[in-house]
Amino acid sequence: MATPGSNAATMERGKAFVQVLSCVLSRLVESNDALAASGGVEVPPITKFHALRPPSISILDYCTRIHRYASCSPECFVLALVYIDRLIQRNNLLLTSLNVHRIIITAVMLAAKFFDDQYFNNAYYAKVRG
Amino acid sequence: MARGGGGGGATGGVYPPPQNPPTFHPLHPHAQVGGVPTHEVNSLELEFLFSINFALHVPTDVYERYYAELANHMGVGVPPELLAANTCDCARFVEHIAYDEESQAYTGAWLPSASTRQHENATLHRTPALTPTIAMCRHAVAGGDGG
Repeated sequence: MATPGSNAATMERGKAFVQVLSCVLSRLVESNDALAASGGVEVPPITKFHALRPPSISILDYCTRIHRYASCSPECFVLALVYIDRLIQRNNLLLTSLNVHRIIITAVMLAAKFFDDQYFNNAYYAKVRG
Repeated sequence: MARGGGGGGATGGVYPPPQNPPTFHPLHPHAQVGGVPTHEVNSLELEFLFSINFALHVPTDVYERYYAELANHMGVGVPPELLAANTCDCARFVEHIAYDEESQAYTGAWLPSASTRQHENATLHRTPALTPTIAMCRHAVAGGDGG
């Protein structure tokens, strides 16, 4: 059985997904950051996903990295978006540049575990996360 | 290959057992950077699971909505042959999707397939309340920073 993302067409399709997903999330984070900076919204409590300072890697680079090393199927990124949406809807959570990276890697990891036949263990994702 | 079901038939709150035993690949040399402890990933995973109440199963229609929305973005900045390479049913649907200005709705037709779902001229209404994430970011790719 072929590893997800092994052939060229799947890789290209995955790249397209990654670009769109990262662009969507970037826009959301931009608007949320501006919202939080303006004080127009009550800042939700700090969660485990929050970093002390924004990671220097951009969302696009980060998603590309995940796609390259996690070798999950493109569908995982769609599922990850569904999970992120559920996370936002069910919790008092503001997706900002402080927490978006950890949320992305966790969502993709869960999607790969739930959906793909092959996935890596958590130690590997810890290294991919950087 | 019908992969649109998200989790297939598994509706439980735990991961379904894989058909084949999961193969744990040797660590990729390029990935051996970072040095983030594994237990932190574990706790993040747990936190995420409890936050979404272990609702990992994604119904097909939900998946297709998200897929169509993403593919709609993709159609702006991505060559159409990439979209044509899709294999699942919803992708075939998306391939023929078009926005009808008059009715303010996306229209598309299912291609004949072995699938039991054969909706002729299915219509996806353009609902702003689709998802908070996507609705806020409509035409994000059209902004030109997609690549």
